[in-house]
Amino acid sequence: MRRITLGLLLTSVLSAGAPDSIACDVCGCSANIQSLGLLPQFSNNFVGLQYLTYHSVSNHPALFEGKPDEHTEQQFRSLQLWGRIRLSQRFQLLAFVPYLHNTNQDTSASITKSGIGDVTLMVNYSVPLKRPSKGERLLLAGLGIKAPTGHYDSLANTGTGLPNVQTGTGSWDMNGNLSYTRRFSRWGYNAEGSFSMTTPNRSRYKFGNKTALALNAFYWKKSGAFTFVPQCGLRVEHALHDYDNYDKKWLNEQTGGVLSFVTAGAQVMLKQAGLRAMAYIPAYQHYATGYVHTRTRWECSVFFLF
Amino acid sequence: MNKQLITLSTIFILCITACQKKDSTAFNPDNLKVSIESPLATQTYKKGDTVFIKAAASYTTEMHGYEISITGKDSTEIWGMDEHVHGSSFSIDTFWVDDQSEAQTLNLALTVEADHDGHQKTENRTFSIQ
Repeated sequence: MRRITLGLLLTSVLSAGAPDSIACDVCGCSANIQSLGLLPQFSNNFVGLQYLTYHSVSNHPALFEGKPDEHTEQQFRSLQLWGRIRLSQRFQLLAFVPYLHNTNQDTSASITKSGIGDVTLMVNYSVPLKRPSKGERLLLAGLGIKAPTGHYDSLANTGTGLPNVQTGTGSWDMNGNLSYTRRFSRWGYNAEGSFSMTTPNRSRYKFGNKTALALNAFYWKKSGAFTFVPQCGLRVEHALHDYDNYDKKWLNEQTGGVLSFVTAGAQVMLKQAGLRAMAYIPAYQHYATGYVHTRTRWECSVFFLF
Repeated sequence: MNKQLITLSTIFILCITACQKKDSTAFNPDNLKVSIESPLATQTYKKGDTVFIKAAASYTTEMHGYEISITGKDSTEIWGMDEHVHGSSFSIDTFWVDDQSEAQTLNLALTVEADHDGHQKTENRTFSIQ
């Protein structure tokens, strides 16, 4: 019974996602940790497709006096196959297989990289909690690993390449998340924290570790065969600086930073199928010493429970 | 149990977002080597000739880029380029086609940017065009 009730409780996880970006020193939005947001029915398996797109603009000050600033625009698109399998009453296995299409456009050239990205596997554990007198609650702790299955050009970190627009980071990274969901009758909230701990790749480039915190409120409404879950909240992401060469401790201080978003979206469920759309609207941001500005992120996903 | 989990997670997050180690080698211009192999100072080019520019730079730590500038009379820039390059050594292999109609002595300046604090070194080479 408890399992069935928990199945109605919305759960949430995060995982490290898309790789990062741009040429030269000022590097795009490597603070991006892809959010899975609120997922339905803890006790069910699901498979789905998720599309995520965002755009960032950078104005890199010229390296030499008298030269114009370098203006760069980057577009990141990711179509991801993802799913969850319930291993036991308390354990779930999640898998993410992204296909990336990234474009870097500067004043002189346009470069596009596309292909399979880095695959992530994550195990979530449902931490036992005392049942509240009213409503439901759920605490999930997850740990995962991201494999370097995407392509990383070994010349990407020489300055002539673009670390962030590669389809892979070239590194084995560890991801984790902690997610607490509390639902009263129709209202509820979810608080979550996640991290991505990176390692240097073969070229000794190391993307900065990333952390994210999010707080979302949601409303749960059933109407006929449909279930609607509108939601809104806040999200803050932080990325440490990248290392151009981790062995030599060549820290690239024009990477990393803070991004914060106001999030809004909705999820609709019909029987075993679900559709979700989310917008991540930038609020405060200070990224790459302030030279990079990210625009609104859009996410749309479909999933099927089984 | 849950308090312990949250405490451990918080400590872990603080650890992975802690200060980052950084190569703090102070700039030493003596260690920044910049050399121009081509063009030679004795070379003279005619209009339409290709001036091959070959050079190299090395340093004890990471460099960030270089700029090449060819100037003529009154230090007017005739041609130039710059590029971001990360590494402790790099070579340059590019060219410029002489499109000048007037005989003069030109100066090729190669400036290497050691860091983002403005530390750089310039190597000059003069050559002639007819």
